[in-house]
Amino acid sequence: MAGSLERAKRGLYAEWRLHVLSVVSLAVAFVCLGAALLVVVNLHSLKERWGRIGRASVYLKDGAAPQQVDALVAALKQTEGVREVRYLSPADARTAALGGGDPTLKALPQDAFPASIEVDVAPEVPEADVAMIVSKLGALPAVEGVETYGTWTERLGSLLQGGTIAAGALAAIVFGAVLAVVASTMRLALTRRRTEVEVLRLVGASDGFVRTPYVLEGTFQGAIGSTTAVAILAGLFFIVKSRADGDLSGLLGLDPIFLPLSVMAALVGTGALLGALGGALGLRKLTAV
Amino acid sequence: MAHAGGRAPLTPFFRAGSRDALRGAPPGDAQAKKPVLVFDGVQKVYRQPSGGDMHVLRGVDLVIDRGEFVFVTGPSGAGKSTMLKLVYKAETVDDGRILFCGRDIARLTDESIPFLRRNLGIVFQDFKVVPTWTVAENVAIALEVLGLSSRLIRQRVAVALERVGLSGRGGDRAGVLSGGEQQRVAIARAIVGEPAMVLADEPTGNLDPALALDVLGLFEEIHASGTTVLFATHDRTLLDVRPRRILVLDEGRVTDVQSGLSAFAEPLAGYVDGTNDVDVEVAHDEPVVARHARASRAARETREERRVRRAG
Ligand SMILES: Nc1ncnc2c1ncn2[C@@H]1O[C@H](COP(=O)(O)OP(=O)(O)O)[C@@H](O)[C@H]1O
Ligand SMILES: [Mg+2]
Repeated sequence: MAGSLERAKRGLYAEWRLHVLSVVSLAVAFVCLGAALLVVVNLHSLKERWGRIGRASVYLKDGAAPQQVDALVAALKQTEGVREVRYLSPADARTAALGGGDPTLKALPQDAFPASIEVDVAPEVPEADVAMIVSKLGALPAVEGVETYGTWTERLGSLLQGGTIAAGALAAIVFGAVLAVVASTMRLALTRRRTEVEVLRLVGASDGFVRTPYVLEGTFQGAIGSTTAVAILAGLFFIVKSRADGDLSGLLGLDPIFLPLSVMAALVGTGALLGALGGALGLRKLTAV
Repeated sequence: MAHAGGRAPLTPFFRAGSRDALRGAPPGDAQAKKPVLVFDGVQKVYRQPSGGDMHVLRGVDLVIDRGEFVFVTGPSGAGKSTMLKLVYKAETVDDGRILFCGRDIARLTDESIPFLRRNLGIVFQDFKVVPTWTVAENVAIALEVLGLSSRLIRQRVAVALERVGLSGRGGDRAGVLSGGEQQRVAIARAIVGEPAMVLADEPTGNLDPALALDVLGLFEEIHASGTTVLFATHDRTLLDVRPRRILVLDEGRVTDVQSGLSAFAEPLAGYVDGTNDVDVEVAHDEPVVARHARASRAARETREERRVRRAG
């Protein structure tokens, strides 16, 4: 084993240009994969965050009597899981909307803003229960319509699903590319090291003895390539994050997150494994001299 | 002990520990009269891509005893390399048997080939030295495949390099060495594992005449220390350096010529009537090249010349 490591090191050293080229291509492939995973991870955390917020706006008909509204507010306050109920008059809604100081909004008439009841549901309440409350509210005569963030979460969910499928497809492509790159690098290294293999055969090296260094070299390449990719991604991520700090997190309602440690470890591990596989693949045609 | 059936062995070619017993004893030793290599009706046919068959060996029989130094010669394309390839199993016989240390290597499985080769030292015309490795690494590889400790490897590599006159060069990159030096590295690699036999396929083919004699001298020293040597060459000037057993390969058959009693090798004709008793006394402290140059001169000297020289 020590001898194999030594020979792998000698091989990497002697053909360092070839191996650097290979590592760079692997890093590029893994940056693509890592970026896709980064998107998926953030969509997921976004869905987690928004999916938990049970919030509904119950828009009231213009002709709704104040008693009806009061009764509704009282009934909602009694409902299990409801944390807060707040009546928003058209004037309140207008001030809230104009908080941004948008001049086009200011031009809108008073009745463009319907009165509503804002309902906060505890995060523990399952989405199904929230949906039931919503459908019941929608049937009431004073209610014009109910809006929840459920559709938001749904859309985010389907986006996440799409992202996951895309990342999966990308992963398959990247894995194939990594195997091909390592295998062809090894084949090239092998033809350049014909004499070495010939000598090993002549002095009675076993098949495993001949192959092990090449598999080790492939493993190093894969591991170094994927580690470099993770480092590049981390660098880019933190640069982008520091530039777009306030706006981005304000928009999304949370800070974008980097790949969790487990995902980073999995990426590097996969790189090493694929490298080893590619190395072994490149030696398929290694026959006796 | 009788072997059950003719099944090819899957076990290592030689068990650990038995290797030392296979080392050649010095020539003349009573124990030395044991065959290391036996060819028994060996036939080899190459299938040509064009379709025709080429019978390179048509029933070769020979016995090489432990501690012998044997030349294989014959014109280019006679099948010298093929003969050696059959021994280290780069090629397989089509008919007949080859016994190496008593075992039929014609029936050896692919898995056993490495174990066979660990008992052979092989030297080629084109050196086959890894240029990016150091001299020591090139020699050490023959011991690394045996799994010896690095301390033992270092010791034995140093001894082998000293034997070929390269002590102190172990750290140099093999690629920067001259042809003659690279061949010395290859020879050191061939002998460092103390093999039962050393095979040399035109080892002097890429070297100028002085270096060729030098390398031949190295093989003779290796032989003198007890190793069996099979040396293939088409270079007749090497054959007449001193009386030797010569196997002449031609037309697919071997003519065994003991001690230069040959009609084939013209420079050896002087030995035939026995009057040309070449006496080359070897001074052991004499440089190898000078020694062989003198031996070569002595062997080439005709009876007439000698009488003239002695009379004068
Ligand atoms: N692998 C091969 N396939 C077909 N023919 C071969 C092969 N190897 C050698 N030969 C032929 O066999 C003959 C003997 O070759 P070789 O043993 O190399 O001769 P030598 O070493 O005496 O010059 C040559 O005619 C050569 O062309
Ligand atoms: Mg030849």
